[in-house]
Amino acid sequence: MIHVQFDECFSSKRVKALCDAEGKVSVSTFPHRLRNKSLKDSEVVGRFFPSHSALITTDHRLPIKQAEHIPHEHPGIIVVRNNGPHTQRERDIIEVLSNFKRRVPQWERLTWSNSIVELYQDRVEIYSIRDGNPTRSVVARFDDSDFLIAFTGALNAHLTRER
Amino acid sequence: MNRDSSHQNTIDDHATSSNGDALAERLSIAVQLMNDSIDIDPDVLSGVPVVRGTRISVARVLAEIADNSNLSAIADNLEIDFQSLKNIIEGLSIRLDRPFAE
Repeated sequence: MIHVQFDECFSSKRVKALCDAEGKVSVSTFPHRLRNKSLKDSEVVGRFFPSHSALITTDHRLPIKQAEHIPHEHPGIIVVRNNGPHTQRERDIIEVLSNFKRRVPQWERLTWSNSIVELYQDRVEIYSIRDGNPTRSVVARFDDSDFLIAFTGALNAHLTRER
Repeated sequence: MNRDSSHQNTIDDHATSSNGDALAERLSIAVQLMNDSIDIDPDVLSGVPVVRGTRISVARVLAEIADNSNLSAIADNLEIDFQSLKNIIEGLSIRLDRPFAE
């Protein structure tokens, strides 16, 4: 089972309920004690790392602008991206996640450590922090014949970090 | 009706002034409503306007409304203050209720 921490911009009761019903993911919602506190981007990383839960967010700027606050070793950041024609809605988030899970049947057994994974409608992009900057390792398109190999290979390559 | 041109000017001036005052007052209300309900902070969601105190963008809320969700359902689902959402919509309504092109 995968453990994830919802960022507030990702968090919703409906998505939490869907995760609970699926029974394959253990969810920590955005803590109530931090609501209405205008939690700063740097504090999101500081508060939730180091935990053992991957952070899931829709804030694609977070890993870029807060790279310096991301620890050398971390449980992973999953960014649900939107490349559709309109502003991202809950239904878009659910669609991206559902599509990804269809393409990656073993998704709940993956280890995301030290990876920053951007999920799109048609692909995943995998980054890691190198020399203080997010550096892209792989763009794996769902239509690629070697999609699963490329995706899981990139995740596995980040599990052990060199100092 | 024959009207003295200077009188006409006076009436028009008065009307314009009244409308101007009303518009200014409404804009002031709109600014207050939005200031009370929206944060713009470069350190929160990289400066994207958010519902006050949260990391939830105003754009997301508007997109959910456009997706046929009602305001109270959105507030409940995203666990944000209903009054803040009402203020944002009301503020936007007032701000947009004027000519932007003549």
